[in-house]
Amino acid sequence: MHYEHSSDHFTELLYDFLDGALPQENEMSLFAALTHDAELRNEFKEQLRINTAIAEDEHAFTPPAASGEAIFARLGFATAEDSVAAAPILASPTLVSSAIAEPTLAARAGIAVRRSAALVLVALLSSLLTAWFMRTDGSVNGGSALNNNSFWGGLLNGTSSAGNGSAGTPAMYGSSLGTSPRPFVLADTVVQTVIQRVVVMQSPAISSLSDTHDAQAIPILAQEGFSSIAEPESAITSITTPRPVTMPDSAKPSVAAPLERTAPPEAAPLFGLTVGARGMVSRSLIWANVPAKETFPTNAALYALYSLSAQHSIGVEFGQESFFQRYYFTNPQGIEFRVEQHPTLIWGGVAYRYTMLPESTFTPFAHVVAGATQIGALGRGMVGVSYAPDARTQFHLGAEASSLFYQSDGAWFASPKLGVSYGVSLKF
Amino acid sequence: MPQHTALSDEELFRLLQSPEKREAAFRELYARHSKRVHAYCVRAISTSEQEAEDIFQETFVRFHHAAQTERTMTNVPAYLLRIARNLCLNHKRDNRPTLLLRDDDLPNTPREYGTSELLNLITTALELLDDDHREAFVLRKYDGLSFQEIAELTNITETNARSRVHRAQAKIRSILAPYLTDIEQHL
Repeated sequence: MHYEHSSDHFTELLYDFLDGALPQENEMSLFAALTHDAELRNEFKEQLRINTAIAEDEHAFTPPAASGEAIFARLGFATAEDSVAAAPILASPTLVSSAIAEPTLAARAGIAVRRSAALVLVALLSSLLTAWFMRTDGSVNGGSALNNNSFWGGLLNGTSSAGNGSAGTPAMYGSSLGTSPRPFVLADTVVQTVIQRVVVMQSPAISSLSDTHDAQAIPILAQEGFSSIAEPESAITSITTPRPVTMPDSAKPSVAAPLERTAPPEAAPLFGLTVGARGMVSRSLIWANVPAKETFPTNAALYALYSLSAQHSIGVEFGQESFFQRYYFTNPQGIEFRVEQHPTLIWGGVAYRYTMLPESTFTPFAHVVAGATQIGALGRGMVGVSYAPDARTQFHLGAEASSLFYQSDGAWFASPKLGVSYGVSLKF
Repeated sequence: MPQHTALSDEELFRLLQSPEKREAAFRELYARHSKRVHAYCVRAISTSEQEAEDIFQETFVRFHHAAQTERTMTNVPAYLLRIARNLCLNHKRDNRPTLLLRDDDLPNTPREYGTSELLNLITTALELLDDDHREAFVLRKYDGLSFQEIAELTNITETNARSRVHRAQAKIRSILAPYLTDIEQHL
């Protein structure tokens, strides 16, 4: 190698020496220069420090795992995500490029399995709640409450004002039946149902009806106060002429024949508590370049609501959901950074639900949550429809909008999402 | 999956044409060369980390596709860097002023810059170099290429390659001098 004897001569020797490229015959002249040139020694130290720092530049020498996975996915190779559980994203959020390709079939299968597992969890929870409910309800059916003649007799022969079929709330029924035994926590429900049947039985036109009521033959059922009776909605829609009913003593039925019924009344909630589970399928409104590191169960929530009235409920809701984040900050050197990550966050908050037609089998509802996650505030709102196959169970389907709000460098950022929510709830 | 660590780059490259062995061969080549290619993309391109990551991924995808038609490959890392460089040049006209870096913290958690302060300074100093000098410096210091390899890759003479690297070193040192002095005093 030829070195020109310029002013930078020894500097170039130094650079080559640090790179391990200095010919041996030039080393002695460099060492000699270093002994008497303080500036050269200083440069030697500084270049050595720079070289050392570059060798430790882990960021440059460490391709993000997500980039590798994206490459393998684009080439149709199996990705680690298929077999390795995702690390907690909060500990190491990942930034990758927008060039991440569609996941492989195997990756999609893995995602599908996790989502299915979440659904199974929701279903299992619902089943457990249902099983608990059925066990309780069974005690009603098999117990003495409805088959207890003294109970029915006391009700029918008492001084109940409800017996005349006048309108009233369940609370009114309860108070009017103060002398009747209330052996079961669902007494209000029983009372309500019983009143219906008393009314039915006092009508001569329907005295021969079986337990399977024919609404066309029972116009009396349409009067106010019976709207919550859990009859099929279609069966009462044709009833349009409510009228008051009086029940003369002579018309009171005997306790014997028509009351030997075993069909249970529809159960209705007593505590005003609704417990539910739901899942969310949503998409970030910010185009997400980074795949979510989903931690099971992801995009699922549990909630408990207390009914303030038939239409208004409040409660709490908790869930786990992934949110794509894109935010910016400036480091002390004045360089602006953009960070993208897709963490799975645990959230919780206060929930409010408005049920538009609480007595209907199908009812629109609105559900909002104001809450928080580990890193910021969360708001979500949903409008949907509930289907109530019975008085206790409800299935929900709705459209949901949510957003995570968080701060970076004093600026606020949002991660809005749109999606569909589905779930089931039980009333107690 | 068979072990491919004992095979040379050239042998692995040939295996990329075998449907059965393609994946294992590619993974081995990726493990061997991804760090250098990534360092080049991140530090030499550097105007946008997003673009750097895009180019990094695209480099390996194109390399894989090229292996389906190319029969032999004598210098895999140089070929990878050439792909990355060509992609980089195509991206130059779309540079953005924002520098994007990976962050390992959530936005509301405190950050510490002290441990990697010098690296941040070097990164900043690299930004201040012109593209040719930055590229030569990165190819030399990060990718370990010889001046001759740099010259071949960038289509310049070996003397010019050496000159660019040395000028880049001197420039970086001059930019960092006040900080290096400060660091020296605190050590």
